[in-house]
Amino acid sequence: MDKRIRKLLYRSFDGSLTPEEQRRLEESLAKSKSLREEKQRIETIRRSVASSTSHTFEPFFAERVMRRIEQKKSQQEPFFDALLAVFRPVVVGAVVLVIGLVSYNMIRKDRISLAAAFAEPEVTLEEAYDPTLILEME
Amino acid sequence: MTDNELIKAARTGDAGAFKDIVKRYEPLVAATVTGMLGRCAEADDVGQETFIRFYKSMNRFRGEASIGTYLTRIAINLSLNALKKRKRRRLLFLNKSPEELGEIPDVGASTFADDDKEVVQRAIQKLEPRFRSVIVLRLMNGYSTRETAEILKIPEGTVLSRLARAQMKLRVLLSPIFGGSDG
Repeated sequence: MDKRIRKLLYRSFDGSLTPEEQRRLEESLAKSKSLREEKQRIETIRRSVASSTSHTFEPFFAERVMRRIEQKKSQQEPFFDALLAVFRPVVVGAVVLVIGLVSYNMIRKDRISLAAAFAEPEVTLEEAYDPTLILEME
Repeated sequence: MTDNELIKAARTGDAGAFKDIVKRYEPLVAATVTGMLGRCAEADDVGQETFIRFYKSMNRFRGEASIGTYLTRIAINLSLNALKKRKRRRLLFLNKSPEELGEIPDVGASTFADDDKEVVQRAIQKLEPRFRSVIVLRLMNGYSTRETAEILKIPEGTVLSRLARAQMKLRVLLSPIFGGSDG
């Protein structure tokens, strides 16, 4: 059997032939009995492959999947609980410290403002651009 | 319930909705995984892992592809990984039989192939993974050439050439049953 025609035959099942290739294949099929038999064999193999498909796993597959998901979840939860147990005191401590500092700054400045809370120095624009201040600092 | 409704419910923690998704798509995933690995305990494990991966990534699922295509992609990738592990195991335990390694025996070794279906499945297992994956997706799952190319992330032309070569190999492997010469 001509190898090129045989390749065309195998490709023809997935409709990937050009009109010219299709014509050549059909001519060869009309002439050759062995090619027609080969075509029939491939069709049988394709049908057998399609029907050999198994559409189920072992029984209670969905239940096994759900059980594994639950197991994974319960394994993850203790980890997150442990993580929370470590970081909770750190977070609470940091919040208390910030509140304490902000309150202290505002009491010292005797007014409620962001600048007072973060103890920013009170400098006017003129003072900021006063070259003598820069010289003093140097 | 539609797929989207089930996904929406499962995202809110409804275990029953996710179980329905598993039941709905078990046939598709089973066809893909058993096609790639054969019927064995390993295939059941990979099938379960496919749904567990989907469960974990459910919040990222935007619905660009259908759930079926998404699950098939996960199943194919996990099956290919399992085949790589199998190959490594074979190299490590050269003197162990496939049965001892939890794999199915090959076509030639079979003395009790009780029907053609089993022999066909074993012949598919003899194909290289790259040929096997196109046979499974195209002929067993019934995906189009374009869908197969998308799932495997290869060009459509490659799908067609692999499919033609895979069929030639199957034709040789199955010649004792379906007749014809080996060449």
